[in-house]
Amino acid sequence: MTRHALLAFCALSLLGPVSASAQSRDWSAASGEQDATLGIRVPKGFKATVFADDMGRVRHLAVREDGTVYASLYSKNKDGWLIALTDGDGDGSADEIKEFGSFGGTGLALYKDWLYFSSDTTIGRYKLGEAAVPTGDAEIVVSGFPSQNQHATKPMTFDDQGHMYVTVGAPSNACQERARTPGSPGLSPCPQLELQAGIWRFDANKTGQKHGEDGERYATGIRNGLAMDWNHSANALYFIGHGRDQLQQLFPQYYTAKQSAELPAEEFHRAQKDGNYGWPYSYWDHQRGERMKGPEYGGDGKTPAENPDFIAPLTAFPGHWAPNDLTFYTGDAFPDYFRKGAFIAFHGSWNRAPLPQQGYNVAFIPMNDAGEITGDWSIFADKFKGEEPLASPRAATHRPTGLAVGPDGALYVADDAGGRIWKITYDHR
Amino acid sequence: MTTAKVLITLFLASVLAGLLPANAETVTGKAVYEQHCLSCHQADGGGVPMMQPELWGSRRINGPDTALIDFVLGGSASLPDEERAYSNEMPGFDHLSDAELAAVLSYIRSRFENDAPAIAARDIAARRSEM
Repeated sequence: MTRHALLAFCALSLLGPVSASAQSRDWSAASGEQDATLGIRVPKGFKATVFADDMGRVRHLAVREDGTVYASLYSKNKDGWLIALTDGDGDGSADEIKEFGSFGGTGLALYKDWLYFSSDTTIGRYKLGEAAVPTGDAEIVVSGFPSQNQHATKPMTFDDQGHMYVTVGAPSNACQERARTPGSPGLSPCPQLELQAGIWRFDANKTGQKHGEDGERYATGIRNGLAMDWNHSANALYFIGHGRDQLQQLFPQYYTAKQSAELPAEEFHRAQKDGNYGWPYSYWDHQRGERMKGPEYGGDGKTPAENPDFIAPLTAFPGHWAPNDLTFYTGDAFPDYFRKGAFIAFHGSWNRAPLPQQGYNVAFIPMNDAGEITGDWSIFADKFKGEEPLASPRAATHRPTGLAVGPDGALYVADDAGGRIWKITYDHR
Repeated sequence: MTTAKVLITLFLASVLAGLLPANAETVTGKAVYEQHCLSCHQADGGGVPMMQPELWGSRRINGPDTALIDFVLGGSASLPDEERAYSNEMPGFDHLSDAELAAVLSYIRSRFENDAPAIAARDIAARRSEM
């Protein structure tokens, strides 16, 4: 966290003293050792197993009370868009794997006795029975999301009051008159904000809803809040969005290749109802600790955003790391330091080129029961890339995409490059 | 600088130039690629899985000149849905000059496992006038 961001954060919340144990021990991946067969590195005292491998483009995860792991797929496998995995002998490796589901994509969540999932335009659900694979047909919960190519996935999360929150990404980089064209100005107002680039709230229990007719816009100005989770302890929605791309390619007069690789930040927020997070008019510069005016809207890399309604992030990560999932640690099997904190799966960058690509890790933000950040973020699991430096995303061995906490407190991590799912446990050593 | 020094400098420069790729278009093509193409298609032309296609041995790049030029001038928005295997849209590059487009297309056609003839600026101008 930069000094400015830390100051801003202190002003926003009452920062409690960081516990002695958190300061005295390094809980980052750097304290551990890399295991070549595992493909990743986790902190000392933790253990990871390959729960499943070569599963295809695995994205988000959900774990049922009985330990069944569900995974969604970005593109369909032979027998379906969803996977159910069970580990009958409890050795940390799934021994029964079944594909099912007639449509899908990235979003996946459990709510009551239902498994919710989504394609790019529709959210459906399956009623779960005793068996791992549901037997009935899917019900349609919400349909009518605009068909779009960029930022099209529709992840969902649920609060305790019967609401479902759905991210609807922006169909562009920065709402330019001419998409991704150097110097092209931004549309003002940006019409994409009407039905996209925000988080919408729907009735969690009602089928047959339509985007644009049912539900309400909960928060706006979010380019792609793909990593999103309800924090049941703080009773609030959190997300970390994908910042805009290509500052240097589109505005070479204002940005160097190095600035373009680092900027803008990936912003971690506690969503406020009707909150505005500034896209496409602005972006967060974590090096300056300031929200800046976007170059499509008269900015030059040095001019702060004027609109005081644009909300500052709680903390921020370097540019283009691509947060793909967020989950709060609700278990009690990990050390106290991790309780109520946030894990973030970073898919890893592509547009830091020509500089080496970064991200490709699972980060952790320590938090308290009230959902306030209590210390600096760190990298919890890394070495997913497989090579260092990584020139191109294509060469990465693994790319983290999904996270879920099991009933036994284990953390599951999915990857859509190697199709691997890891189970991470704490074994006290 | 004396005339002799100028002559020596010119001589050395010409020797050095002879050691480098002689084709001025290659040099310009590389610069255009780095500024306008590399961030999406990557330094090795490998693209980004799910987002931007690789340029390696591309049917479109090695195909007819006119179709390739039209595609780069107009961008990927005109593609039918079934050809949209990648999430990002490629913008049209009609804001680049005929010489820049000819240079970068010739550059791409001569590497990344592609093998097709160079494209001339007049070919770009001809397609542009049709649009």
